[in-house]
Amino acid sequence: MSMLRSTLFFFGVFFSLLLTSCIDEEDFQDSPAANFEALWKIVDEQYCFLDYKGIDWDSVHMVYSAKITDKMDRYALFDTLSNMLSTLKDGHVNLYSAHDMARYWSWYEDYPTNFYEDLQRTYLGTDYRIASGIKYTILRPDSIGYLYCASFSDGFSDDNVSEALYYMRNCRGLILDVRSNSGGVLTYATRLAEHFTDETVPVGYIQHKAGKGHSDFSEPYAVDLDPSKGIHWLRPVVLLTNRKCFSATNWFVNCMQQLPQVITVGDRTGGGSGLPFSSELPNGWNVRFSASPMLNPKKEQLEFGIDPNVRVDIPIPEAFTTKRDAMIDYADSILLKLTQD
Amino acid sequence: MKLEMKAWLGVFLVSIGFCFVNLAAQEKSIVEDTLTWRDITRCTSYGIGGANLYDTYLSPQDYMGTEYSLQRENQHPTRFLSTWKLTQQTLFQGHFSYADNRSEKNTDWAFHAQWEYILYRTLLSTRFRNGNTLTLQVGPGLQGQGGLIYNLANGNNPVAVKVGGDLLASVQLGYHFSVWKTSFLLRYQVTAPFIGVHFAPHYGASYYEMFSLGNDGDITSITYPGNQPSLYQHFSLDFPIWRGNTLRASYIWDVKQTDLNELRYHSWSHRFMVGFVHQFYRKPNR
Repeated sequence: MSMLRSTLFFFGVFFSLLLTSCIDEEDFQDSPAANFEALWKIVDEQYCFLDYKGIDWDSVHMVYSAKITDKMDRYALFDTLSNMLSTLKDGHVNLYSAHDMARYWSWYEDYPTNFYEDLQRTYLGTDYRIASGIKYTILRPDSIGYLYCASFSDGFSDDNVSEALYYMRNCRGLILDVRSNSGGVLTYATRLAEHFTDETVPVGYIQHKAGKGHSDFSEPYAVDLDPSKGIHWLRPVVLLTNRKCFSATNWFVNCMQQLPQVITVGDRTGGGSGLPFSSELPNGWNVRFSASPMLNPKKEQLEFGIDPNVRVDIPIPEAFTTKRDAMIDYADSILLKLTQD
Repeated sequence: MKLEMKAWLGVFLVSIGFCFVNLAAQEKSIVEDTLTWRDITRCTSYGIGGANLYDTYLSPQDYMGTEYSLQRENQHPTRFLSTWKLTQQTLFQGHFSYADNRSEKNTDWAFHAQWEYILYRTLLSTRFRNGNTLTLQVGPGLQGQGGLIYNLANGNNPVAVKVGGDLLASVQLGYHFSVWKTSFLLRYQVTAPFIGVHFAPHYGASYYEMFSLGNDGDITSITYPGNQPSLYQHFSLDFPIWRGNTLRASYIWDVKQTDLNELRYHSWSHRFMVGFVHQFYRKPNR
């Protein structure tokens, strides 16, 4: 029986060790202090810009933990947590509850709007075409095309973009307007940009958190822009931007800036270069935060936005009197000049 | 290879070695084995139970709910290495779980499929005076599994994919007994993965980065009991019910766990299953 005993001994030891091994959640309770600690820890371990922004997250803990009491109601707790998150100064950071959404929108609220639909209508008129989420028209016959993309949340196909570009096939230049496009799906942003190159172009890098430490990052991974299927527009393009160009649109602007025929005009973009992740607190509130930074080809952060090649603002209130959009007018003029040359 | 991983691999090889290498030390079977490779026992069971899901890629919270399962098991003596009297078991399991977090404000859906092949060697087979028999079998196996957990609230990280393959170790204990001239089979099976390879995203890597941008290098990890302490335990009772039909009632405690790249995951389930046992005789070719 020695053989049997030996075998049973080894199997017994093995299975017994497994029975004692447990991978379980940390024991968070649903109290104001526990929810505060859970949120602080999520940001501490997963948020990607603490070092870049020079935020002392331990100090933030000291300041805000002193404001947490067992008797505070959920509204007071939400406001306290919201204030704590606002120290990150990040439009991708939100806390969602049934009664409110905490947000940081100073990246555009503190700056000129620089986009007004009333003024845009002067140029777009009423008989413009719509291909999925893309509105387009020709500003002057056989001269300058105008294409407006209001969001990258609503999908469009390569065919949609190709049809729009085909419609403008006799135009000498294109005004591509992404003002007040606050982002959406990166795939759609890239899909649009891919119609403006006929060769692979390096456009930047992406990183991710490789561990829980504030500076634990993967090596930057190179991201290229590949030509799309369909029509490629290689003639001059003026890309209009404002402070509300955020997230996927910020990345779109970065991609377009790497292309030789593109000039960006308007205001600095809003930033938001951290690909967001989601998590949650013990009380069920959801939290969104930046997790993976995206960098430009020089490996510079884009979190606080991208400057245009030419800075132009819409003068207010004069613009409402003249019904002229100074950015579109400027784009029109330089495209005419470029194409006449 | 980490020292801990080597140690586990050593335990595995020694254990399997005891089963298969030292023929001279083979225990003599007291019960004459009358089954051949043509005798197949098959059981398809359906079950329901409690599920507990946890995956820090999606959330630091536990999710608890209900699991629905299908399990198909084939077991029969093998033809190859016949002097060792080996028994092979193939086991397919499919699960769907629906679980809520403690605040009941969010939901996970989980799908999981798993296939196993285990080769048992009979270490002990003994008949008691009352005619009841006890059989102890141990052996190694292979498993492949795939599945995902889908978190309904998450934006860019809604899914955690589970794909992997492992070498297994398994023990099966069977007790045939009779009560009022009716025969029963009480069985206990415990199986655990030893060494394997599993899909393992980096700590904060998005699926967009891995699969849309193509940064998919080094997204697998070697697993061993130190980072995958998983255990499958199956208690079953086979009993005849009517006109020679045999019913199997099972309780399964299935613990799947990994701790890879600082991402912690568990899927614990307790499920009760019921199925009919079919015994076939594979006819020879004429």
